[in-house]
Amino acid sequence: MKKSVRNEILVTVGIGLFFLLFLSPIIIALSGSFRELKDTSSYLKLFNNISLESYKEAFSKMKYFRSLKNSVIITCISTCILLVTCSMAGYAIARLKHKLGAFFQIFFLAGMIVSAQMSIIPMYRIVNKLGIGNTIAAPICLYVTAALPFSIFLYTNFIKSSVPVALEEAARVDGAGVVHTFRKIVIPLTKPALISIVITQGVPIWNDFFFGMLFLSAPKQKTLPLTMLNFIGDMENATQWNTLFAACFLSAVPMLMVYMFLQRYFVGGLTVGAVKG
Amino acid sequence: MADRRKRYILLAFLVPALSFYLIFWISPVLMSFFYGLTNWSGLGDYDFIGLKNFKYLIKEGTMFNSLKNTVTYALFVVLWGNLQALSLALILNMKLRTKGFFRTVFYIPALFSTIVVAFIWSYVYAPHYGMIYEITSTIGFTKHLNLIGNSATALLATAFVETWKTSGTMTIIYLAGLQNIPEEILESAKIDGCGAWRTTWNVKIPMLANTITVNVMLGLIGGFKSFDYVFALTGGGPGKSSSTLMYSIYKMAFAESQFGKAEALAAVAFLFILVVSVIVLLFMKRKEMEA
Amino acid sequence: MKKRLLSILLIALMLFSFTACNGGKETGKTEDSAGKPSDSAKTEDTGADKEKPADTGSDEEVTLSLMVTTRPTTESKDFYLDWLPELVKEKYPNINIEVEQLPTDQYKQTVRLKFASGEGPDFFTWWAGLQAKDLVEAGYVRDLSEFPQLGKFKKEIADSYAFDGKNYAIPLGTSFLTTWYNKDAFAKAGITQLPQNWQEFLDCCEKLKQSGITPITAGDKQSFVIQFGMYQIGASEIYAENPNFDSQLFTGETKFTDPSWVSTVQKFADLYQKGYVIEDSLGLSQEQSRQAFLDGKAAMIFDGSFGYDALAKQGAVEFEKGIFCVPSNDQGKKFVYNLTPSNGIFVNSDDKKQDAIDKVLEYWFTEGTPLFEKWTTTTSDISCYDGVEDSRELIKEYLDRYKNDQSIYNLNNAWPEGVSDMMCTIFQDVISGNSSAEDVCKGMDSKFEELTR
Repeated sequence: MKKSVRNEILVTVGIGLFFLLFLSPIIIALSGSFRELKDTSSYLKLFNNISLESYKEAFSKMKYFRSLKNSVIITCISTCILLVTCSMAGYAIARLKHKLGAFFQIFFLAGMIVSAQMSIIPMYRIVNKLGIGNTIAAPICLYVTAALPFSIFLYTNFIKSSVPVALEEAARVDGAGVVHTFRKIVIPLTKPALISIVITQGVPIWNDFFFGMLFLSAPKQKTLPLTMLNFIGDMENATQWNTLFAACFLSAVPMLMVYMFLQRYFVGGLTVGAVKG
Repeated sequence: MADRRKRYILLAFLVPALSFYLIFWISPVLMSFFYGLTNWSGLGDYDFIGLKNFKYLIKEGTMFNSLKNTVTYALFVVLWGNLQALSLALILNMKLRTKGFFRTVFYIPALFSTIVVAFIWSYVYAPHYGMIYEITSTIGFTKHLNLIGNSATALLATAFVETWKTSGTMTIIYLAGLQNIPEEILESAKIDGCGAWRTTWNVKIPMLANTITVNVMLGLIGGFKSFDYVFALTGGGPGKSSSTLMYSIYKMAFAESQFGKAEALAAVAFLFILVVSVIVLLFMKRKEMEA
Repeated sequence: MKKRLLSILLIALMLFSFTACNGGKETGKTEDSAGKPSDSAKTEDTGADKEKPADTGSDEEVTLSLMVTTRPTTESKDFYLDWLPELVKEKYPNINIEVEQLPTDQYKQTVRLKFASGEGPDFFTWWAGLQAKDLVEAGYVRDLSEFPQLGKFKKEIADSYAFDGKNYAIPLGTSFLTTWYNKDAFAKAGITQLPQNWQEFLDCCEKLKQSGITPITAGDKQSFVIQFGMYQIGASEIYAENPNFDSQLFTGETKFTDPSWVSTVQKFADLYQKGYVIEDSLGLSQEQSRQAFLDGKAAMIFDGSFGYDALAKQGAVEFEKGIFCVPSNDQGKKFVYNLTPSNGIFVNSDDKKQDAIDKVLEYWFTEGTPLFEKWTTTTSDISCYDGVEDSRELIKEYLDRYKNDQSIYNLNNAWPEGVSDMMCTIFQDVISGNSSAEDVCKGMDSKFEELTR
């Protein structure tokens, strides 16, 4: 017994050290973010002074609350639209005749290999033709679209493996239509898949800067990751690490909080995607 | 009759997703293939120039270089990423009192925005000021690593950041796979006299075949589409040593205003990723059957 | 399990409803954002009324979009972000200016994208020479030859924005690439006089190195920085003998593979091969390199007049700074220095808002107006407006020192976009020892040919 306790302590210390190294960039950045603006001594002196100066500076530079609000709005709207569209399509694909369903499944899945960088200018033109250029609708549409391939794939597979057709048949015998069956039977049964989609797709949407960079030009529309771009040391613009680190944490704090409270669902959500997918 | 009606409704269910997909994903791609045959600068008029763009891409070596870099990058992400995530998962799956804490902590990098991760790592790698430099000088080295400013290491240093950031996600997927292995199998392995090492190698890993496929595919496609870290960390340099497909396309279209040429490269990239992904997927599925 | 699911759904629902109503509000806001400032405008209306021209259509609310690159701000209020919109608003209550600011790379890309999709900004800053060519040729920008104040600007600077005899921009000023140096370090190394030719410059580097000071720092990770050194060296090396080198590029009389270019690149490369440049420069960003200079880690940095504010700061050690242009000329040969149009204001050719834009520009560039005063006192450019002198001692002294020498603009002003990028990319390979000066020139040559074919 004693030996196993000692072993466990040894292993724990080993793992602890590994994680310390693994997370050292974050720890050092965190310590740096709490420094006074003028302090440019070695960052290895961890937490040598604690000041909120850098945070204040970063906070006002980022127009924090405005950017936070934009991020929340864009992420939530995109995720909601995504949930509606992908669950409808996923259900249809799962229940269509075999060949047709398989065709659509592959058709959507192929979208995963497309990357936004491949066709930015056409995307830009289409968005402007539709009259949604310079509005938050533009990145929202693209976030939804970019997330569709994987989400539909995941959702279809989940239905196929976890929603018995017999259950739907029974409902139909009772006189329920397709829409009704979908809303009252399929959606409740596929909640784990929906949560998984929110987590696997919502986090990247929250963190994305590429579509935002292209489509959100007015300062008042910028999201948190976009405000970070202003900190890139530019030819004529000085960068300061302390402020930059503070900005990094300010932009990550909302996600870290969500993670702290909903940790269980993060792990669970990813699991559904993986094992059933 | 009812069946037909049901089919129509199901098809109608596809419409919202399909319209998003066709308008914002498929048609831009088709349009860009078309532009790949022109000399459009992104502004004003253009002419058809046939396959000239491809000729230039091959001649100046951009095509080969960016394909090579992308493949290297993706291979590193797949191999190192999976190795790292699998080991992490095996560690986190041990019966430790503190595993709850570790399981919370290891996922943190995955929550940061790529741009933030790139900022933090540009500090880590920076010569004369960065973390690695300061650590090695404190220990007493006088020769310093310049990972990001060396054309031999810049690409892999960038890919490493990607594996660092995605390790959380990959590890969770492995953890889930590990937890799905029935207890009885592990018990019987123990009874057969397998040590911890052999159990891992001969029992656990084969049982994870499906999970490995998922992670390999995710890593591969993510690696092929790599853009963010190259964009924010190295800018494709030094020289073109870390210029991946997506970054070359982006740079060609904007920094050099050769949109037509960029789209020609995009077409190559598209076909390449499609073919390789399908081949790897089929290969993995076959291995899975064998396992 | 069920309870947990329920609670998460509840949270999701709350989040959703919160954002849904918020989202509704937001879209409402963006829609009438053009109209919103009118409330505040009306209160000031009476005061400014008399100054308004008797143009009947001028009361209509107009919102102009302005795009500028991000620049350093030392004061609390930035000229473009704060003063320009405010002062214009005071004078013309019906004109609102929305300013968008981006770092250079993203800026170039965004402006192009916007024009390509028919949504170009109403006015914006852009670079001179060939860099503006595609915008002009595509018909996106307006001919400003008739702009009344244009004559007030130095003609040769204004003309760098001219195509086919028409002026397409109002020049905002000039800037120069230069070498900042640490006077104290120079003194310590026993350098008493600034180098006058290439050999003296090399000697100077050698002396610094011998006395244990890294001669030059460079942020070569950001490849555009390479231009700062290259164009200073190229000035004397290429243009002293042949001032028409650039125009002859287009006729085929000259090429990038000509000896003058190869030796320009070679001279620059020599600085690296001789170990005069800070170790690991390819891993440093421009900002880190500036910091290294300010911290006294190196005695020189290739930068520009635009680095004035950033380099005026104090680093880890205090020292006196000076500037000079790298003399790449051989002894007794002619010296040429860099002086270039910085950028200019271009106007969208779309004629919907021209009246309002004209008013703003006229107000901005008429001597004595509050806006003009603010502009001349806050700009980092060196003014090219009649009778306005730069107040910065270091810069005044510099321009005075070289006033009898020939000058040349930034070399890439003469090239299509993409050539300078090629130069910088391959030169990074030269620094790491994988390419030669000839490779750089060949690369530029083939890029130039490809882009002008």
